[in-house]
Amino acid sequence: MGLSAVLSVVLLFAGVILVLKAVRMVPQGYEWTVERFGRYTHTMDPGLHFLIPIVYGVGRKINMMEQVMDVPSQDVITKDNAVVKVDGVVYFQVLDAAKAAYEVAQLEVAILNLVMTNIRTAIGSLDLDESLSKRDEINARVLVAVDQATHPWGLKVNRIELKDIQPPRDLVDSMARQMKAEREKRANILEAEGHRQAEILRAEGEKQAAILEAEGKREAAFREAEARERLAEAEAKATQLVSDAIAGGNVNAINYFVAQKYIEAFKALAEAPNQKFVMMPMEATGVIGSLAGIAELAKNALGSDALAAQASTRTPPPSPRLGG
Amino acid sequence: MQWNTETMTWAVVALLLFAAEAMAPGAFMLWLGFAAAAVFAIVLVIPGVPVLVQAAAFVLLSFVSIQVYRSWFRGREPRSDKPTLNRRTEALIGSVVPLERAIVNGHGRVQIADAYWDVTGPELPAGTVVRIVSSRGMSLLVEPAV
Repeated sequence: MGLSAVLSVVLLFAGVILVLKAVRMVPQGYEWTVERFGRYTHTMDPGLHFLIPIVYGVGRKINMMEQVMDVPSQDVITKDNAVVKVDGVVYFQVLDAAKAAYEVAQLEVAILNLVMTNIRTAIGSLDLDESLSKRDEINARVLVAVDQATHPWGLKVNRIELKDIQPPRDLVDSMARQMKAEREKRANILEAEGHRQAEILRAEGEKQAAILEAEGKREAAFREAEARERLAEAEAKATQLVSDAIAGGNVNAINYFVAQKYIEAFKALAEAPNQKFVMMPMEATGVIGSLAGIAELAKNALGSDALAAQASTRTPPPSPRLGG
Repeated sequence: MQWNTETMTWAVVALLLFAAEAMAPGAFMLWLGFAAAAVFAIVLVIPGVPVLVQAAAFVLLSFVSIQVYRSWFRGREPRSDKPTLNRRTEALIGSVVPLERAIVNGHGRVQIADAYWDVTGPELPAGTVVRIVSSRGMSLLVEPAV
C-alpha cells in the first residue's frame, strides 16, 4: 500500500465527514440553532439544510413540540399551618428556539423550580380549605406567574395543573368527622323545624275549628232567637186574629178551639206508652157541650145564604197554626 | 472503456450509498452516492486515473452535487400543507378572541385555550373582541375585530 493509497483513504474519510457536516436534515418538531465558530447566527427549521463545514456548526437541537413535565410531590405549608403534599403537571412549548437554547441553562430544571416555588407561594397564601377548593384559581395564578417568568426563555407555558393536594392523614380524618357532624347538625335542625311546623299547623287547625264552631253556635243562636221572635209575632197575630174573630162573630168559635185542644190532649194522654192508668177528673158533658158549640157554629155557618155570606166575612177560617 | 476492479468498486459504492439513503434517509448519503456514480463514470471513460485523484474527485463531486441541488432544486420543493406546524404563534394569526385584560400602554392579555398570551395593539378596554394579525416574538399583535 503506497502513500497515495493512504492519502486517498484519508481524503475519502475527510470528504465524507465534511459532507456529513454540511448536509443537515432537521426533523419536523425540532429546530436546530446554527453557530458560526461558536456564536449563534440563525435557527434551522425542519427540512434539509446545508452548512459550510467547519465554519458553521449545529449548536442546540430544540424540541418545538408541546411537552409535558411532572412536578414532583412537595410539602407545602398553608396559611393556617397545615402541611399538604402537592404535585402537578406542566405543559409548555418552546416558541423561540434560540432563546430556549442560550438564555437559560438547564431549561427543564429552571421551569420545574419556578413552578414549584410558585405553587408554594400560591398555596401558602390560602387556608387549607381554600387551597383544597380553589384549585382552578391556584392553577391560573401559578400559570400566569410562571408564564411571565419564562417569557425571556422563549417559552410558552400553556397549562399548569395541580394533580393532587393531599392533607395529612389525621387531618383528613378530622375533616371527614367535621363534615359528618355538619350533616348531622343539619339533619337535626331540619327535623326539629319539621316538628315545629307540624305543631304550628295543628294548633292553627284547632284554632280554626274552634272559631268555626263558635261561629256556628252564634249563628244558630241568632237564628233561634229570630225564630222565637217570629213565633211570638205569629202567635200575637194569631191571637189578634182570633180575638178579632170573636169580637166580630160567635162565642162558639172559641168553644171549637178549646174542644179541639181538649181532645188532642186527651188523645196524647191515652197514647202515652207508660201511662196505663189515668186518674183525671173528666167532664164528658163539658166536651159534649163543646161539641154542641161546634154544631151550633156549623149551623150558623151553613144556615142561610145571607147568613153564610155574613159568616164568611165575620168568621175567617181558623189559622192552620192554631188548628194544627 | 473497460470494466476493472476500480470501476466495479465505484459502482458498488454508489449503489450502496443510494441503498443506505433509501433505508435511512438522512440526505447526505444521496450526494455521496451521486459523487460515487460520477467517479464511476470517469474511471469507466478514462482508464488509469490515479486512486488519489479518484478520491479527490469523489470529495469534490460530492460538494458539487450538493451545490447543484441547492441552486437548482431548492426553490422547487413542495410546500407543506401544514406550514404552521409547531409554530404556535403563527397558527393563531387570524383568530378572533375577546381581550381578557385591557390593552394599556400597548400591552394586554388574551386567553386562548388555557394559555394566556400577551398582546400588543391600540388601547382597548377588556372584553373587546380583537383579531390577531401577526406575531412578534412571544406577543401577538392585535387589532379590533369589526
